[in-house]
Amino acid sequence: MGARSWVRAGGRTVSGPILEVRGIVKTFGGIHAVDGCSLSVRPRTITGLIGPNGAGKSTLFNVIAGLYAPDAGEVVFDGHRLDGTPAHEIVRRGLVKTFQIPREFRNMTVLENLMVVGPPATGERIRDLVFGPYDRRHDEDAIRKAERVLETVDLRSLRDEYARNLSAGQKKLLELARALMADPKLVLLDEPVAGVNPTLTQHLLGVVEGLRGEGLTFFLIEHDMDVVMKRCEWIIVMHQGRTLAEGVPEAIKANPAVIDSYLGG
Amino acid sequence: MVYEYVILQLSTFVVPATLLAILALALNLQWGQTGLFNAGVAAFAGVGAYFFGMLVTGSFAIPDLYWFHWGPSEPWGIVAAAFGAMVFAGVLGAIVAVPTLRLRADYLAIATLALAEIVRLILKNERGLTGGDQTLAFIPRPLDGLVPRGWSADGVFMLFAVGLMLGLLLLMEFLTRSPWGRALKAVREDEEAATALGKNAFVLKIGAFSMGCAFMGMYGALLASFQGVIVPDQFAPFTTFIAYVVVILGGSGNPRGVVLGAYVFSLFGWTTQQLRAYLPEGFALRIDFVNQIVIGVLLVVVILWRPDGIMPETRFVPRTASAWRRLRLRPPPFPFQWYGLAVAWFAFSGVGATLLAVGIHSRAAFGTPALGAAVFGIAFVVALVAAVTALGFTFGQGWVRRFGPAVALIDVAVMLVLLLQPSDPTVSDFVLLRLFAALGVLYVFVRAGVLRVPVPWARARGSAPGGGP
Repeated sequence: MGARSWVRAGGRTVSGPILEVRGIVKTFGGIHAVDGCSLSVRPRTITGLIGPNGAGKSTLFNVIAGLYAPDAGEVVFDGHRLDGTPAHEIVRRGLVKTFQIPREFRNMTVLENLMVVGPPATGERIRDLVFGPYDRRHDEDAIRKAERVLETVDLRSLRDEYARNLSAGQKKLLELARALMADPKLVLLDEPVAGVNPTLTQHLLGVVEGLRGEGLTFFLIEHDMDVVMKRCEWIIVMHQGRTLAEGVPEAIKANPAVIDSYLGG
Repeated sequence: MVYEYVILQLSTFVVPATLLAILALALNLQWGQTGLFNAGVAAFAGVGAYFFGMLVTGSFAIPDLYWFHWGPSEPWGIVAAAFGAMVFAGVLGAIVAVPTLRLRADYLAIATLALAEIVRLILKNERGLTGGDQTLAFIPRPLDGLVPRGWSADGVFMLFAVGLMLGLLLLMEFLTRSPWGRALKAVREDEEAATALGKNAFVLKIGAFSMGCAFMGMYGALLASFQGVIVPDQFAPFTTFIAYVVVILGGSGNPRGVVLGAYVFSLFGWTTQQLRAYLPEGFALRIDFVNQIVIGVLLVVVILWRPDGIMPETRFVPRTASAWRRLRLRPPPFPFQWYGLAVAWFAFSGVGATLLAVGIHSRAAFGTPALGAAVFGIAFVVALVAAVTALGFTFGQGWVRRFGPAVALIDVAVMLVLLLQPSDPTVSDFVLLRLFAALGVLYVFVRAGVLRVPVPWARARGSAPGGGP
């Protein structure tokens, strides 16, 4: 058993996109946060999503993850329509999102934070608790799995610490670790390294690249151009709720429209 | 008699405190564990109390089935009515929760607060059903018909209440540690994050809320039974307030803490009641109001000094080497190794019930003493074999394990046949006790996965998580 064999082989072998967003519209009152955005993410890549503040990046992520219902458009993940599917169901299909500001379960330990996620555990529904042959070994498996994930993100030593006591950077790692517990094919990372010190940033990105090598796909929002240009193979630029441009980092850097609206001269 | 007097005095403290502990445990599931603000605790307690009271005394009292000891004032009838009250309160909770729990948290508080007033006004004004302010009286206690001669009925009821409370405490401790409890906690901490990580927050909240409401209904039924008389004003918002004080005082989120909180809180009130006789007359009359002021101050002090309560929520730390392994026994695949408890209960109820029945009632129950003795003798042997088998199942392996369910099934069959014979109520009491015990053991076998019951909703589960080849 490999050290990281818990990662499900990601994507399909077919080369089509793992995620496809077509014409998504999401308005809040009179504001068109996302205004007919279309984009696609290829499997086994680290794809970056950049754009000025208010471009609708986080809103788009929330729509993809099912936290907001879109006003129009469709989301196709791994060959299935996602829009209209409840958020908790989307996670089970292998798409999970982290939050920009870490939303750790404060009064639970780091280990518990991870165990909550796990694959649909036996004993998570009342009827399982009453009738099911609920087996403590499932809990022990979840603990072992959580410990392996903690090992990957270097949080092992904080296993039994309350999540509220973690530093801001450690909370970011916890966010990533929790997402990994769901056995995802695609992880949406909302500003994973904002406010994280350079060493930890490198570590976190190293983890992400390692997992990509094992078949996961990452789609991330980031404002740190250094990170985006060095680590992403493909970059999508959003502006005023639409896709402005996409391409490899070099092409994006040279694109006049992108320089004008976001990168600056 | 001195003995009776001591028991009575003791029960004036123990019973109300224990009932309060039950109420607090129910609220703790909603508020402490799941973070649902139920502002209508009194409503669910009131509904439970009145529904129970009406079933056992009112115009739609349950019918008397002669061979079951099933009448409105007979033991099993009372137990069934209390169960009905629980179900009714739980369903009412679900009805309130379904439309409001999809909305923001505040709406649940508003809806339950409104419900509390609606329920209280209905109880006050629907005199035909509830008696209104004229009270609903003559509510019987469940075990009074079964109390052996020479025993104090107050004492028996006290033990019954404490036993129920301990059972509920064990259940809550189990639920807190189960994956379900963990998911509830995640919803309490951050509902949106829990949803984004694959938890169905709505279903989890509905489950926790209606279960809590059901136990509030149980509290109501027990309270009605203990007092014998209920009035609508008992279920005023002050009851809700008290329940929250107890939960916060004891330690929100920790079932043991909440029970401790209930006893500490009750001890305080009880002591001032006892002091009443020694106080000057003017002050003694006002002691209840002074009490309420002191409760408020006490709450503020606790929040300032110990914001998480006397016994705060415990931190989950997995145990690596269990006591079972240190004893070199095969650890049973049951949550938290509670086999011993189930087995002890089974052996006790089976053997104990048989002895009790033989000792007290055998002469009265049967025209021919020889036949009675033979029937009870057989039942006694079956109970003994079943208890021994259950023990063997706990510690044994191989065929011993497979033998257990068979004995329990035979036990159930024998008891069902006995039950269908119209006979003396005493015999049915005994048979029902044995039947419940045997069903309990069967349930343990099902839970352990030894006995497979084809239930329609049991979906095929994938391999254990984190496995790999």
